[in-house]
Amino acid sequence: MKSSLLIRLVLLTLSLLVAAASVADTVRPDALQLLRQMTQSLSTLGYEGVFIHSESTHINSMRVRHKLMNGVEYESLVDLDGDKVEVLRIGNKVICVYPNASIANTRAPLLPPFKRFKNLASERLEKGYKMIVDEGVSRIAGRDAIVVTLMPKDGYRYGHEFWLDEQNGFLLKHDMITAQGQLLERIQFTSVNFAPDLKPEDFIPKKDTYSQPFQEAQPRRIKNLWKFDWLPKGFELVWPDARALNHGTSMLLLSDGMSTVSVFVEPITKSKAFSILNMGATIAGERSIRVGDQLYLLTMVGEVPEVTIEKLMSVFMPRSSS
Amino acid sequence: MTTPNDNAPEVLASLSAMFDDEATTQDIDRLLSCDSRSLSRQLESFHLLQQTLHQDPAVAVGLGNSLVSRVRAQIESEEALGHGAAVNSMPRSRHNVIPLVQVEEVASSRSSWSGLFTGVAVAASVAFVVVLGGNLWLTPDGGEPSLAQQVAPKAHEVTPLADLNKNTLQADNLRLQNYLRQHAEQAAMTVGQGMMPMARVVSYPINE
Repeated sequence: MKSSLLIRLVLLTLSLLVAAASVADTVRPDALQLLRQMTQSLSTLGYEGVFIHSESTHINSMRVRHKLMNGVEYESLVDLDGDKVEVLRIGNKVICVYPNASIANTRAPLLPPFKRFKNLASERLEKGYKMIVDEGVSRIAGRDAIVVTLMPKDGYRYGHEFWLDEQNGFLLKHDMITAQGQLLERIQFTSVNFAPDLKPEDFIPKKDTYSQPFQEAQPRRIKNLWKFDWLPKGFELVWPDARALNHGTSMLLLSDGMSTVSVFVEPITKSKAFSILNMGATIAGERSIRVGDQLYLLTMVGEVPEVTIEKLMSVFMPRSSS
Repeated sequence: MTTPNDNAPEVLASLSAMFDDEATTQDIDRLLSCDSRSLSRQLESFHLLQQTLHQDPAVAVGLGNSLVSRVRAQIESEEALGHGAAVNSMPRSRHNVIPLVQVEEVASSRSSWSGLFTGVAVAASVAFVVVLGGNLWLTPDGGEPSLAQQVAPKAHEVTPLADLNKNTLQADNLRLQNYLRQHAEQAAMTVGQGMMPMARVVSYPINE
């Protein structure tokens, strides 16, 4: 009697332990945690891989390399299908190598690049997106992946799907889609190696790929003389001030933590009718605006629906002088 | 009665007043004296705008069976039945607002005549202000996003980024390419999540 009772107790304990283990296996981090892990992995892991980038009718393959060596972050991205730009990043410097133009554009970004991946704008993301972790596991480039979906809460932004490596959170695939489910842009790894044998010299641009390095002037910070009378939820100015570009152009940058819209304001002498250029995932809108006696050309570029650009252009105005 | 210019400001003002349920007898008389077909076209334009704004399914509001003609016929039948009530005194029934998509049903139902106008008013008042404002977007307030996000995508031809390289570059194209590159670089450096922003930097045309 006592032995049967003991056996039952043991069996019950074992079953409870198994159940607890099962629950632990199925408890996944939430979407924000997974996205944070994604941003961290992109800047901390060493990797080398090939992915395809498709947008509109264009598709090309690219190779990416990344490694932290002696405390310095090295990264390179090169188009494998044509003579385009190779982007190299060593520490705080970004070098864009243009093979045909034979110009190497060296510039130091205003923020250390690796920091961009460590700060996930979670509050802004939550305002604009509903974040969902899908059930089950997918498989991309031979790796098991968890799918995180960002569903837009309004019509002013696109949706995103991320396939994240189940082991290390690395981004294996990213789709940008419209509210109707139309695919706008995709990057998808076809192969990835998380233990690459890379050295600093692997990131130095080849001598015969450019001839005349030059230092482009850094965009100067200037006072922001403009404002938006309305912004979609979650969108904020990334910089409190503006950036001065050539020809007296001011640049502002808006973001909701995922999508970005750049705003360019340039003094002109001739008015320009409103126009929209649809480049698939990217939309560009232009129009002239008059402030007092001065005409300005307002250009907005972003990976947002057309309606967002149109509305932002209608609510853009000079700050009142105080 | 002299037929007013159908596009005259006073005609448009009367139309707007009617849609806002503020039409006087004078406004109604002015509208009814307009050429039905011309006014119908105006109403249909408003309604097409409303369809675009609200992504309503296509509605056939044919010239051959114009809205105004049906309303005029309705008024005449009302008068023949001896009701003779002024438009303004017709009972308003917001619950009977029927969108224009069901205009055929509305025309056959006397009780929903005011509902017909109200339905059109709701549709057209928005479009009317849009047309007069000369801008697709109203001054933003808390309610605007629902209107804005209902705009149907325009049929702008998609120009792949790679094709910007193929045409002879004009000053406008050069400026746009510069802006595109600035946008891609700044987005990748300051906000970009994942590989996509950096991939765009690499993908953008470089011919200058």
